[in-house]
Amino acid sequence: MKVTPEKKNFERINYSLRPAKHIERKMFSETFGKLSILDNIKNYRYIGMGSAYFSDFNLFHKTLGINKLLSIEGEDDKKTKERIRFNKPFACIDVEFGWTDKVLPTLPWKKWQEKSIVWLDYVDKLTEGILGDIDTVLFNVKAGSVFLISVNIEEDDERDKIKNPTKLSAKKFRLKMLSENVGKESIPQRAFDLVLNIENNKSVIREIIDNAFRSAVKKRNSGVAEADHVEYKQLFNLHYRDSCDMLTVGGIIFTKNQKEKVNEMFDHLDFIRQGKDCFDIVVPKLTYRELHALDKVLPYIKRKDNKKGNSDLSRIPLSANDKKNYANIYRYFPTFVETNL
Amino acid sequence: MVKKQPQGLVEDPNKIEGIPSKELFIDMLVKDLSLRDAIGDLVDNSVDAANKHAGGKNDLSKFSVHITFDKSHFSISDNAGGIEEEIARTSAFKLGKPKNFKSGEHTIGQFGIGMKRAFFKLGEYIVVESVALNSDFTLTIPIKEWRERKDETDWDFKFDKTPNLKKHLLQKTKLKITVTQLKQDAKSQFVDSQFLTDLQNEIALEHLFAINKGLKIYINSEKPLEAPNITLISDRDFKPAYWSHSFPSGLKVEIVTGISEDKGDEGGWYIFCNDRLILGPDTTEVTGWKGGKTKGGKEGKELPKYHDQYFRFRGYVFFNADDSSKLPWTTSKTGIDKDSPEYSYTKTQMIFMAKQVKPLMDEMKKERERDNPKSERLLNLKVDAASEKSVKEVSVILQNKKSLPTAYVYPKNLFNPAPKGNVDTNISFSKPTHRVKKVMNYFKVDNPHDAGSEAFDYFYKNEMGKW
Repeated sequence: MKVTPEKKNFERINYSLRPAKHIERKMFSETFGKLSILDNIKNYRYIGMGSAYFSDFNLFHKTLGINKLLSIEGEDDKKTKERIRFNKPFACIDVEFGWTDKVLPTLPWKKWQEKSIVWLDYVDKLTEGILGDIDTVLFNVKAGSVFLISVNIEEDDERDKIKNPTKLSAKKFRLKMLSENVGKESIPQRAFDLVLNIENNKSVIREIIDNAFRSAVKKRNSGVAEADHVEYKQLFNLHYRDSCDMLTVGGIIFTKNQKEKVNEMFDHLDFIRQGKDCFDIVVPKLTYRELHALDKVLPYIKRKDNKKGNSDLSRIPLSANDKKNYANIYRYFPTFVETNL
Repeated sequence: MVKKQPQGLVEDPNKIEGIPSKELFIDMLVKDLSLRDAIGDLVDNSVDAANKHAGGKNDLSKFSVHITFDKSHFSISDNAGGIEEEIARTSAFKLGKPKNFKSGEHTIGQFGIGMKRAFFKLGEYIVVESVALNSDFTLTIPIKEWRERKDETDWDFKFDKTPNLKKHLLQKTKLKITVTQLKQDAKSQFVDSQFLTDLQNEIALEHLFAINKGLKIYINSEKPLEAPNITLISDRDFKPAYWSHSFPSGLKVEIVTGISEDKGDEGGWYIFCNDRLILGPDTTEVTGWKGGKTKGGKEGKELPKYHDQYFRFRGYVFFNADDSSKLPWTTSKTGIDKDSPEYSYTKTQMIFMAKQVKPLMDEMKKERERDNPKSERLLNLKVDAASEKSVKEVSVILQNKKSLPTAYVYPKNLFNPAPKGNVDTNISFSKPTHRVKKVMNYFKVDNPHDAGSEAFDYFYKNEMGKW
């Protein structure tokens, strides 16, 4: 018997205080800003899952100027509804209550003239339901839209007596859990030889999502003239950990006409990952003094003649790993200060 | 081997004869054709003609098809425009549709061989009487004589006399085909009452939509065939969703979804190709009712496994194409081609539209939980009331398709489940018997159930603060 007190997601985690998530959001914001090369960013609609904090909504509205925003909120009891509405930071945010598999099919996609930026930031593991959501979104969004999903990729604990009463090995148990979640037919063959730890989950879950994206695009193309065919290009394959391991996978869909621009517009963003290689956000724990010292020598240009930079960097008493990790994300690094608002 | 002939006697010394024999057509075409499908092909032609002359309206009540048969004859007649003499002369009776033939309106017949192969399947002596808008004629086809002609290259038929080029009103038109000198197969089946019943049922189902639109089909009976009504609840509160799409190939598809009466054997998806029902009511994986293994309320990538909760669901898919070879059906025209890109595209939309209706049925079920008194089940009450007065035929609903929304509309605000606090959760667990007995003694109760319940209350009082 297991009784867990029912807590809403936003009560479990204070969304604005998660540094890795914070960094991820800022990276997205910078990426979405590039979309203005395709179309005025005002012609985009953001669809996300804002919870009670609306951190992503806040950021995208303030920094990008997107002013059509829609939040999908799963909890639909009266009290949650009131609280969510109360916390909505701007008037231009609409909220639809219900789980994504219920809400996404009822959105007026046909009527919307805008392209979409859809970020379905699930708290849970990848499920068949989410694969269904992928179909729904990719079937309906306009070319030039961006679609990302984030899922929990924690390894399943084979020592859990309730979930694993027959004491399967870690390898078998985790595969069983995965196939219960996504259905056996969605699991790539190679996964059956792996022990699904975080590292393997990163690649297997990405592959399942990637396959779902590609098959959804194929389905979409099967019904329209060639000029309207879209392609999918992955932009994110991003892993981070605040309280649990999360993976974000997604990218942009575009037509032939947009291809040239799309191929160039994200060029200089270091965190863009178009394939199997995953970008890990690792947040080093640093003091303010250390942050400032590092910032001063960044961006670090590794050159023989950059003697000053080299020596300044080597003087900071941190491990090479911490330095490298910070250098990867320093432009997006959050500083939290206690304040009385 | 071509026998060498003196060159002077041959028109073209390089020519090799490739002309097919009539036997090939007569025997090969009917080889895998059932008698039922042969008759089905003729009915298809009549239904096509009726649809064509209905002028785009969803009303076929002026048209009828009469079929009679016994051990010595078969006949089918309709009043749907006949065949013009020019068409008869140039294409209708050709074996195979001319390559550049354009039927203009959408038809069910695909290869232009349906009528002819039905002739060959049924019998040896065929009379075709046609009264069309601009002409009328009678044509007799004595198949035996035709086959045994000395000149093997003579494939032509002849009108009984020169056709009349006279105008006729639509309501006076007709096409009547009578077959005598029946084939052995036909002779024996036509006196079998089971054959008649099966044929009636199958034709009624296949032409469900045409019958719903008012077409009367009589098969050896004074009474027209009856088909289940295809309906949806449609009023101010419940608005069926409508979607249409044109494929690059020229194929068009329309989907309309919603709920109707709570009937298990009528719920599901209905798929029509040029108005002929080729699948449905379907509640299998083919139309997305696949189910999933996912826990926690989500029910798979597509749709959940079909069960009583979804008996009210109705989805109607209409594929239409002027060129019937573009339809996503199997070559036998009896099923959907699941793997065709057009169906795959359409299925995505079907699932998407079913998911719009699903919350209504899920919420209705939640309202029906035992703690919720009937009078509080507001959504259920509304649906029940609408089932009494707002069930409409799909053909009627589609007359006004422009006013239908793209996403299903129902009165969401009425959803009124039992308040959460009132719902009980069952807990069961096992503990060592000697310990359970001690707890029973402690609480002075005589069974483990009460002991567990007391223990829970004790814990709650002491650990959760307030009672």
